Amino acid sequence: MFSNRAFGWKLAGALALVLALGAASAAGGRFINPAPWRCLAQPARWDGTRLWIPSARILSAGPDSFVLETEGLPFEVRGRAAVAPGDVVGVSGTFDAAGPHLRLREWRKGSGLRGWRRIAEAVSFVVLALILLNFLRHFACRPALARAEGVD
Amino acid sequence: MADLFTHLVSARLPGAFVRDRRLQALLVLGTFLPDIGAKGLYHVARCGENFIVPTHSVLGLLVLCYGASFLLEERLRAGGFLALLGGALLHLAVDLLKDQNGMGAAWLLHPFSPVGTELGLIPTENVILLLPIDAAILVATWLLERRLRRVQQ
Repeated sequence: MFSNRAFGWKLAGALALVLALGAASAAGGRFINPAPWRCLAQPARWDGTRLWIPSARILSAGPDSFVLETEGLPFEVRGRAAVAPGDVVGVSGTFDAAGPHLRLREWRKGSGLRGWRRIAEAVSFVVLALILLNFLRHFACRPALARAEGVD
Repeated sequence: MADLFTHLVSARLPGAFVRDRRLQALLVLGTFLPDIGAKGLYHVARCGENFIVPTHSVLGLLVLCYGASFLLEERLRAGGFLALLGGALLHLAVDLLKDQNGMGAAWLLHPFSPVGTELGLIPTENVILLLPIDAAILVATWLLERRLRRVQQ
């Protein structure tokens, strides 16, 4: 199973299977939310899609709906939620092309820490760079050294 | 995704008990593999949002790690596959802790079930709070590794 026999076929088979799983998922699934601006630009295409907006500021709020700002665009959400203009919330629901709007399923008030996420991401990239350098140390191909040690 | 630092830490602690430094490195690489696959397909290959679902499912990762193991030399391949898979499954476990408003953070049984799963313990915007905990675990791991190495000597 892990031998070098039929190496190319095994590698190509694994790659093909991953791509086939991805294609099947893309063809039949509605798993991951598209960007809200895409839904607003092509409402008919995304009608019925589950959508998650992790963080957005409320522009206006009524008893049965509210409008939030996401990616610089106003986005209507229909459903009851105890929110006021200026609040930062995360919402999820089903996109409805009529309107267009989001039918609210779950929501939660933001903790205000979203801006700090960039710091976490910056730390992550530094860590990733260090790991890649470490990988070069462990896996680098050094033919001259191998020859000197009589490996080949 | 949780931040890469958290994923790294989640692999470093069990990695301290892996003697072979190459397998230890592959365990760490395995924790990045689901996001490398997902971001690569989405940002580089420009695949759609739904195309990347297998990179966060058990079957998808099994195949992905099998394929990735063929980038290793034959002697290291079987162990490397297990290390990569262990790291990738750790990634899923960490991602499952997230709260994504009920959308699901991983699709464990895809393609057999379309249901996304999440435990909803940490809102994604609060990952910054994990940094000091991660740093503490990393220091503890380093001390543990030093001690284990001394015992081996």
